[in-house]
Amino acid sequence: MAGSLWVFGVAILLTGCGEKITVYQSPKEPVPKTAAHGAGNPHADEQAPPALPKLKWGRTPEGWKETEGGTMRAATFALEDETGQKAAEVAVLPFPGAAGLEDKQLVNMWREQLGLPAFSDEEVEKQRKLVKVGDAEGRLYDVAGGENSIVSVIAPHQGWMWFFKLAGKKEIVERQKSIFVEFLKDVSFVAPEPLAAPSMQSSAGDSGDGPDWKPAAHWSKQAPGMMQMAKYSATGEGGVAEISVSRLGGMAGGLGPNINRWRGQLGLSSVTDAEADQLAKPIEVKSGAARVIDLAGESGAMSVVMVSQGGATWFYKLTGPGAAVERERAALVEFVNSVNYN
Amino acid sequence: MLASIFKFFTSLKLTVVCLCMSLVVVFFGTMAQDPLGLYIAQERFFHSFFIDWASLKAAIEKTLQMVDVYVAAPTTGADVLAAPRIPVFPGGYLLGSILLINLIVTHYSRFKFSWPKAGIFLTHIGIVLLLVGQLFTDVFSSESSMRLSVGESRNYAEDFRKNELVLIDGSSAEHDVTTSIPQSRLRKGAVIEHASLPFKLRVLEYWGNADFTGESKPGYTKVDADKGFGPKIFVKGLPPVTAMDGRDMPGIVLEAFTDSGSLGRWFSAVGFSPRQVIEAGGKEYQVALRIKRYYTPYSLTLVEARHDKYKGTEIPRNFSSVVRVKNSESGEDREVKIFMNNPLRYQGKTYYQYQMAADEMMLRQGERPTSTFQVVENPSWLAPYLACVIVGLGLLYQFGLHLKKFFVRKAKA
Repeated sequence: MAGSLWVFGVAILLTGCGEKITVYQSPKEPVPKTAAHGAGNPHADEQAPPALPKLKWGRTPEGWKETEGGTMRAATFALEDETGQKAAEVAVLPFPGAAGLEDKQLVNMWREQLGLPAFSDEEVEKQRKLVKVGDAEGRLYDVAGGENSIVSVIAPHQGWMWFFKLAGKKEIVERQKSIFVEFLKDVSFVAPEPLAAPSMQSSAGDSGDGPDWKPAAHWSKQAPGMMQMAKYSATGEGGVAEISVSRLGGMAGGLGPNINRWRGQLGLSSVTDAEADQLAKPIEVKSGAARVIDLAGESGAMSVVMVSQGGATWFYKLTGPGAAVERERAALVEFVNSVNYN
Repeated sequence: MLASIFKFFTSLKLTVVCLCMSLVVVFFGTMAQDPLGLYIAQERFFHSFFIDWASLKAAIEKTLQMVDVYVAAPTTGADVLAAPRIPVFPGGYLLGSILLINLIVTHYSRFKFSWPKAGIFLTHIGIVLLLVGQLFTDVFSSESSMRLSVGESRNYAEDFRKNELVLIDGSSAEHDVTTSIPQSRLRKGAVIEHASLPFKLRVLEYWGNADFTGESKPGYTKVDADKGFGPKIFVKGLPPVTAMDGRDMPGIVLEAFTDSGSLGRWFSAVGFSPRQVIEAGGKEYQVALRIKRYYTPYSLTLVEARHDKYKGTEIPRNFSSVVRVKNSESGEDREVKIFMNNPLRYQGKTYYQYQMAADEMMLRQGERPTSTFQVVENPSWLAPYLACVIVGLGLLYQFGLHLKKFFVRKAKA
């Protein structure tokens, strides 16, 4: 009996041992953007978007008409057919770094756009042709679908990844391919100049090649990521939220895979297609029906509005700490309502 | 007195009783995993000295349900966490400790080493190592995760379950000084003080799991904070998450105060709020409730994340990540590929490929691929392997000896 009591006493003592407060040194992290004693200037910490390099070229090929291509493009040319209708386009886009993208992923993305099955590493390698792009070397991929074709050249140059893309009606693309390759030899790259800080005033129609829209007055424009049409940040109490716009063809991979990918980014587990369907709540926006997905996880929160428009799906995505996402949710819906797709 | 303690611990009856009780604990602990979830069941049955009545009741109810006995309102994980912990049965730690003491004391008092009994000796050593190794695993091992976007570097992993309240003093130009208060100390009414802080903290509210929103909704109450963004937040308490792949999202309202009075009331929640600032003693302290971090003297950078699928299907074929390990202390800077069954083992930690968000659709939406690693640290991982080998050798020796004697007897006959 005495032994039992002794064991009991030791056990109680051991149970009482709790976790202790610890103090440790860690590498410096940025000071939070919202202070408890006042938010201060909400734009004080906004960053200027990186300046884009420019492209120079000699003679513009016959039949190519230089057009306005948007803020993220270094050059855009419209190619007309015999009837004078635009039948193809040449677009030149510089992106900072490679952002972990591989040729295979890009080629398969273009193949998917043309409704073609994905290529393996070996097949992509077989397709690859090396071409001269000014003083750089480019990797050319020819992707031919049913009616349309895409000829793309990926050329890394001084920390930038340049995309030269000839896309349009198959017969026009085939006819223009050799001219396109000749044009590439004649280009030169101009290093970027620092840009002025972005305007704090919102403006309609700042999306370049996208539709007109009106971002919230307190959002500041940022350099969009690869494949994004626009990006904004919003600072305030609760932290910094990011708003991005992207557009994908058709169903954009389906609702379930998209939601599960976003859940994965927030540290949440996957859901079934039926559960994903329930998570995407229908809302009415100016252009018609849309769906909104609100997610909150261990690494923050996300609110995505998906709008089907003109055979494409538009993604308006708001991310950040939960409090910042809550704060900007209404502004996001207002932003989506301001979009004029015509 | 000492003699009676000694007699108690050398009793064979004690061994038998403890083993029988262990069977009961394992049975009900397993049954409780359904209503309570793995983690609560583990903590209440195996990682505790006594099993409380609410947990045992949940396990008994589950057993009754399995034999088709109707239970009106089964006990849930939330009920167990809310109920007072009334000890009713020995838990895993107590039984393990008694068995260990029993084994060592009995061995010391009764066992005299001789070669014919060397096998038994080895077997006992192996079992002792197994028990001690398990205790060390419970105390010193940690499981955490590290999520990285391509191009991102980190020098810390985050715990799967635990959270911490941190107060970060960033006044030094070289490093931050972080005071970490474990989640277990955060209870409503608790007062926290530490030599590293020029103020005390009082926990005004603590939600183990909750949903937070920026607008007034039915069922949500306004957070009682007057600093930072807390005054605009509404909260609704939620039951604890029992699913293995889920986690609680706790929130807290704190009052910082000194002898001169209150400095204000702040609100913070995991995944919801960024760090806020408390000013005291001429310094700024960043405060946040966040997932518990484990810092390392080296950093990992995600260079590449691959999510390959079988051609023409959505079926995953391969998940792999290339990471750059940079250690300023050793000057190491190298790339390592981590994929299924091929983890990175570095400085006592093992990095397994765990989650991946890196498909083509993601790239088309302008998102950076992410890869998550499960980080396991278990200084005594070798103990069970070693223990099994020792027990195996002991049994082989002992039975081999008996077999030899048998053959000798047979030959004589």
